[in-house]
Amino acid sequence: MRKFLLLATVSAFGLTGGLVWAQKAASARRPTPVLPPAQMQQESAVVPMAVSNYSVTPATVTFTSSNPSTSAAGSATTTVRFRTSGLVAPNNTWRLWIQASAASFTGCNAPPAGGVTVTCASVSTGMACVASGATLSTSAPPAATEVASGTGNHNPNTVTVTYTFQDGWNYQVGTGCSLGVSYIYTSP
Amino acid sequence: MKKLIPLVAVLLLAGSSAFAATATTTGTLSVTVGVEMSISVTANTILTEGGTPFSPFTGNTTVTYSVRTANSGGDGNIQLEVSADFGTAPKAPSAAASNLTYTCSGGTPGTPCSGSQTASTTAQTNVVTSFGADAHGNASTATLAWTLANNVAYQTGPYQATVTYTISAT
Repeated sequence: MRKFLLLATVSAFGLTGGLVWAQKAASARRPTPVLPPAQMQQESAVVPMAVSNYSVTPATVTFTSSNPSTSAAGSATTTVRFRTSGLVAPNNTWRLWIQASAASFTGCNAPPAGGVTVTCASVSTGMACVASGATLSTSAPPAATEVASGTGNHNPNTVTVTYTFQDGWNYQVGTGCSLGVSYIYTSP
Repeated sequence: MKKLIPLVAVLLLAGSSAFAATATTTGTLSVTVGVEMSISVTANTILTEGGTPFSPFTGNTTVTYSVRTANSGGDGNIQLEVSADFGTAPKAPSAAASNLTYTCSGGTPGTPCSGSQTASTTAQTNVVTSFGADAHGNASTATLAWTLANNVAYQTGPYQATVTYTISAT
């Protein structure tokens, strides 16, 4: 609710500013209630960023394919760390998502991103795992793959993510087929 | 001022539908897809005598295989070898004595063996040849039709041979 009021206030200021601007610029003509683009930018700028020191280690995880007929052809793990600060209850919850940058790997006859599943292996204090064998999504939040959620300010928040790749007989033999992923933190 | 009210409402709705704070960092998933192959066969193939006296014993074996070859220069095949013979000729049927032959059908990717093949106890013989480059098959099948000569000199009784199948791919 506090955020809602804040937005209302910002919007009202923007409109007021726009109205004053319009009146000053053309006092002889009728004021036109137009919101300049600069006011829209200002609205998003006042929202505080509550995450920092964002890192992914290793940044690149590598699968080794094996027999495609097996259920899990290869898995790899990476660790995501970030600091949360400035969060105040009740709006101090957040969620961590993963989104594939494309529908398929490049090369290798394009294994689909959906062939990768995501599991939250462990989290630090104040967090809870969400993903357990979830399919890697190409959509943005809230349709992305949610890995973990948390509450409050911590330094660092640590999430260990395990990816599992399902190999396929139809994939083309090749090395270094890659797929970009984004780790997206959101706070309501 | 009345004209401003609808615009305020629109802005508020837009603000409430988005996340208040977001942050993004990136990573990469990398995979090396390698040459792979697997094979399985009918566990036991029973050879049965034909309807007339001394007609050969016949039976079929299904070979199920999966393969993925390199897209450049890749190839491969399936071969077999009799690793344990029925017995010793002339008192028993014997692959070593060229009593056991087979024909092939099916087998894609690749090419099934051509004509009648004589199984050997000392060398591998073809079942499916020439997978070729960039070949992909998942649970493909080839069928072997076996023929074992029925010689009047054989002693009566059950006989058993073991056949080893080998799939290779590059």
